[in-house]
Order: sequence, then structure tokens, then C-alpha cells
Amino acid sequence: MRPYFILVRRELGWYAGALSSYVTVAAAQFLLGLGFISLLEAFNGEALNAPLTEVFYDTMYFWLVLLLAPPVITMRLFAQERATGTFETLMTAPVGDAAVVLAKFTAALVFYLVTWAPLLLCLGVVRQYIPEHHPLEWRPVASTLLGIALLGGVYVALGCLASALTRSQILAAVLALALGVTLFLVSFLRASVGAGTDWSAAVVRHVSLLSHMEDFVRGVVDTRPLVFHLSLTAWLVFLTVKVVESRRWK
Amino acid sequence: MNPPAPDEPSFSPARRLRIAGQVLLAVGALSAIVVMVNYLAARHYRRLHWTVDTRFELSRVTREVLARQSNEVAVTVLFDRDHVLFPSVYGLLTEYAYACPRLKLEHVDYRRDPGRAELLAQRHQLPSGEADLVIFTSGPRTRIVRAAELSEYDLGPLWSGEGAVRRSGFKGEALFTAALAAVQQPGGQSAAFLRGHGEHDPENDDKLTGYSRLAGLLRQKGLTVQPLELVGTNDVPPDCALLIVAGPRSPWMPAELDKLQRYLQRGGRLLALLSFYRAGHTRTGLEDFLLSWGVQVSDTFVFDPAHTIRGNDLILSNLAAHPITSPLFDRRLHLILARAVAPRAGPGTPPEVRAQVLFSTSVQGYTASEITPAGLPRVVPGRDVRGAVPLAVAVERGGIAGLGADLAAARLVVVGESLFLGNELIVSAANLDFASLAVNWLLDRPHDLAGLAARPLHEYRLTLTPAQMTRVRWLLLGALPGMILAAGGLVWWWRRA
Repeated sequence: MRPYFILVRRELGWYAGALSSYVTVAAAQFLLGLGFISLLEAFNGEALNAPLTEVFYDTMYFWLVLLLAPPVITMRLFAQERATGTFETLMTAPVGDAAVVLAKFTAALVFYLVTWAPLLLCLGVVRQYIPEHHPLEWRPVASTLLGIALLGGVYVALGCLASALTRSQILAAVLALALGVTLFLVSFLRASVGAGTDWSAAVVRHVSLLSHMEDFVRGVVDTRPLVFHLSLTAWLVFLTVKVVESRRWK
Repeated sequence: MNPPAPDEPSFSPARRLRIAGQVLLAVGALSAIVVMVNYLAARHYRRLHWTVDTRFELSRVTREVLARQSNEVAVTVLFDRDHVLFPSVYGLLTEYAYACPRLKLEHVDYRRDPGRAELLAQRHQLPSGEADLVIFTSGPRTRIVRAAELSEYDLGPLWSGEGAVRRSGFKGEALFTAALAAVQQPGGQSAAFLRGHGEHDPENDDKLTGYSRLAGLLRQKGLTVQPLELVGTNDVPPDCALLIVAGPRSPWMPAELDKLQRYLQRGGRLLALLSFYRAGHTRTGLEDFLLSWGVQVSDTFVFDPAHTIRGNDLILSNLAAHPITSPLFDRRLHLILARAVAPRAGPGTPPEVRAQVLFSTSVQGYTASEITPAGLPRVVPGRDVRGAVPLAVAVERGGIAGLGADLAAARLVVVGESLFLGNELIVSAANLDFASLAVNWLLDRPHDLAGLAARPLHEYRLTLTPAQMTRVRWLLLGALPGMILAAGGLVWWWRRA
């Protein structure tokens, strides 16, 4: 475990020291801020029957941050190491491939969660201006953050895989974004399958990220999306390990 | 031993093939495990509600009703996604669908999918432009719950001048569960239209006087619509949940009034629509009968020159705080040649009868004892009055005020007009919603759905002044991202230094 923690610290150290990390967080804060401003302008003086977090997830800014941040965070993980030639050094170190992949995944996920920290700042600011019946209850906020973390796990793992597949950071980011957006767009098939009872409709409903987030923002924690996201994340991380391993026998 | 040549591969093709096969096998095995785990998770799941008000948690009664569902029920949420109640409606019905696999839930947004919405409107004979409703269908049976029925309102702040009307309760679970029970039970309650005095016909499609749309509304509520005559030995059937007297034109026989009295005495529910104009300016006998129930039906026509389109009709917005009219607080009702109806205890009125005005004209209204053949008012000084003239009354006897009706509680809604629920005018203004809410109130028997009271609805009101909005905008879009960038710049400078 020690090499794993050393590698996690090394990766987090890189994020903490890189200007691009701060730019990413600042951009996320700006987008989340835009989302909150648009909500405040739309509902100022109006009555809301749902907590603000429940409305916010339905804005494009929420999904922009969710879809754009992981490729930006993960694109360098393996691609940069390959491009700069440090990948072989890392791979010859006394540490297993799985530990390397897991460490990079963990660090990227932690940084992804840091990217979402401004959401709490935005909620705190909005809370100051709503005197009664705070539209923020900690439990739905907690389940929303759980949803964000679970979705982040999938998208960060997808980014790791994309980064492991290529030397080019740009290509890695584009590949991760394309795969991520495809997974997201599957949610929109919900409308076409409607109340269908066949297996394809069941699959679409099961993998619909929008439905999952709908539940999480309402404060409903369902074990199905929990299992779906965790298992998909594990599967993607496993694929990444195999891609990294492949250099040994290619 | 000679070292391998630099361009020679480390592994032989056979070994590489074997490794590739092993990797493929491992990936395939894990993929199968992932699919199996998700398959099992989809069948054995739990839903935890991390909310303070558990607004999406189903009650025991609803779970029992869902457990009894033996047929497939299609639930179509025909709602605008931006409607204020959509999250509550769809969120709650999603829980119904999870709890009962036989329930097939579908959302149709009529703004984004007008073609599908039009098809639904045709299939369920919805009036043109009607939307924001939930349709429950099981086989030939359909029940519709409209958005206007779903909320309870607190008009207190409006009356006291302290603020706007607040949506205080969400009745979704009670109405949805009742709708599900209704589509599952063939031959439930019935509504009877009284006949024999020239009343409106529930089977008639005539635009002005036909009542087929009101009959359709009752069927959508799971009621069986049947005609009823009280002549001879006929009496009100025991399964009659609602009796409708729709614009009688000729006098009632004393025996008929006795039967009506007995029906109400045993907890009957009556919707009386009494048009003086349709009755040819004559009394039908119901006027005196209703006095014993605390309702005075006047022989006058009501006008409101400031709130009319054609002179003899009324556009009414002076609605009282009552379960029937509170949800319509920002809407209008449209009546024609109405007569005044007011609460007034007569000599035989029992003290436990509670009568309340439902809606009135504005303060510029007045009564006219006579009208010209052209429908214009002829005021008789001394007999007619000016001011807010009441036009409809809700009466309750039995039960506890504010806590709903018990089994033996009689309820009446008396309106001094009947054409406003005819096929043409029922879709004007909020007349259809008034009819729907009136029928709900009349049919309300809490023992049927014990424990399904309206859930308190939190209303979050954002009130930011322009200065505060500017401050928030500056903070969220300028200060916070700026601070993060400044921190990044500092770290960058420190590392370079």
C-alpha cells in the first residue's frame, strides 16, 4: 500500500502545483456561479417548491462541469508520462501496474471532487440571501454530492482509460469527452423507450445518468445506480490496468 | 548465451497470442461479472430517502393499494417540465412505479412533444388546450388528476396584506392513490343526474346546454354516470356518491323533495345548479328546500358592469378561501345570467349546518329583479342590492370544521347558474377546474384513504434586491474565481522563485 500512497501524494502534489489545476477549478467555479446566477434571476421573487439543488442539476452548467472537468483532469495522467518519457521510468519502479493506475485514478478523483468544492461555496453564498425556509437541506445536498462523486468516478475512470490509450493529451481529452458525452446522451433515449417493458428499455433506464441524478438531487439514494456506477468504474479501471500492462507483451 | 537481437520481439507470436487470449478472457469475465451484478442489483434494490420531509416516501395505504394492483396501469404525466409542481408530481409517481412493476410511468411534455400530447388529448377527449394533468389508464377505465387539484393554498398572507398566497400542501399521494384504486375497481361509485324537470342532459353534446363534458369529467374521476328520476317509488340509490341537479326548469313534487331530504340526511352529496333564467323566471321548489340547509336562492339576476364581456355574463375573481376555490385564487370563473345565492339560516335550518360563500361579484356588482327580453337588467329600487353579490355557497353538516367530512356528513354546493358547466362554457376560464374541485370536495370521504392527508409543501421564496443580486453576481462570477486564480498565480510564482 505504501507505494500506492506515495504515488497518490505525487499526483496530488502535481495538481497542487500546476497553474492549470487552479484554472480548471476557477473555470468550474465560474460555470457553477453562472448556473446559480441564472437560477436566481429566473426565480427571484418567485416561489420554489423544491430545494435549490434539485433545480440546479437541471441546468446546462451543472452538466458542463460534470462532462468537461474529467477529461481536462485526466488527459495528462498517462499521455503526458508517455510523451515526456517518464512512463518507462515509472513502470520500472518497484510498484505494480495496478497500483500505478489506482493511484493516478484516486488522485484524479480527489482533484475532481476539489473541482466541485465551489458548489458548496455557491450554496453558502445563496443561503445568506434566503431568510426563511432555507432551500438547502444538508441531506439532499449530501446525496447530490454522492451522485456527483459516483458519476465522477465513472468519468475519471473513462478519462484514465483514454489517457492510457494514447500519447497525445489532446487526443486523450477528446476521446474521453466523446465517450463521456455518448454515455450521457444515452439518458435521452428514456423519452423514446417511454414506459416500454422490453429489455432494451430496462437497460436504457438502468444506465440513464439523468435518472440517477434526478434521484440523488431529490435526496433519494437508490442502490441500483450505486452498484452501476461503482461496477462501471471498477470495470474501466481494470481495462486501464490491462492497457498499461499491455506494454509488457506488445 | 547470446543476447536477443534489438529488433527481435521479446515474446514469440504464440506467447503474445496466449497473453492476448488471457487478457481478453479476464476482460470478458469481469464484464460478465459487472453485467450480472447489475442484473441482480436491478432486481434487489433499496431506496433510501435522505430528505427532511420525506416528500417522496409512500405511505402504508399507498403501498397496500399498489400491492393489490393485479392489472397493468399506464400512468401518463402530461406536464410541462417547467411547471412548478412537475418535480413533486413526477418524483412521487416515480416512487409509485418503483414500488409496483405493473405501473408504467411515462412523461409527455406537451411543449416539447405537441404531437403526442394531441394524440392523448384526442384519446381521452380532453378539451382543446387542456394540459398539466396525470392520466391513469387500466383497460377501458381512465382517471384524470388535474394540476389544479393537487395543491392546497394558504390565503392568509394575502388577506392580511402581509404577502402573497402560499402553496401549503401537496395532495398528490391522496389523489394518485385514489385514482389507482378507481381504475382497478370496476363499478365503483356513481353520480346521478336528476331528470324529470327539464334538467341538462349528461349525454347531450349540445354546445350551450349539453352536459356531456361534465359527465366526461365525472367518468375521469372513476364515477359511473347515470340518470335518475325520483317519481313514483324511485329513490336515490344507496351507491349514489353524488347527486347533480343541473338547471331544473319545472317545479319539484313534494315527494321528490322528501327523497332528496332523506338522501342528504344520511350523508348525501348534492351539486345544485339553479338557473333562474333557464327556469323561465319561476321557482322550482328547491329554493325553499335549500333554505332549510342554510342557503338562500334569490329570484334575482346578478350583474357586474366592470367584470363582464357581453353585459349579461360575469367574469368572477372574487373567490373565497375554501378548499374548492382556494386553488383558483389567481383564476377567473365565467357565468351567464346568474342568480344570487347566499348563506342564510332559515326557520328549519339546524344549527350544525355550516354554509360558506364560494365566490361573489366585485363590489360593483348588483342584483336586478327583472331583465328585458334582450337580457338587460331592470333594477327594482328597494328590492335589489348593490355590492359584492354572492353567487355560490358550499354547505356542510356533520364532520369537524377544517378536518374533512366524516361518513355521515352531508355536503352541498349550490350555484345560481347552470350554463357555466355546459359543454361550451365549462372550458371557459377556470370553470372546468371549479367543477373538478367541487366534485372532489363533495366526494371527499377521508375514511376511504385514511392517512393520505395533503403533505406540507415547503415553499422557498427567493427575494433578492437588485443590490444584493449585483453583490451575489460579483461574488460568484468575479471574486471567487478570481481568488482561486490568484492562489494559482501565487503557487506558480513561488515554485518559479
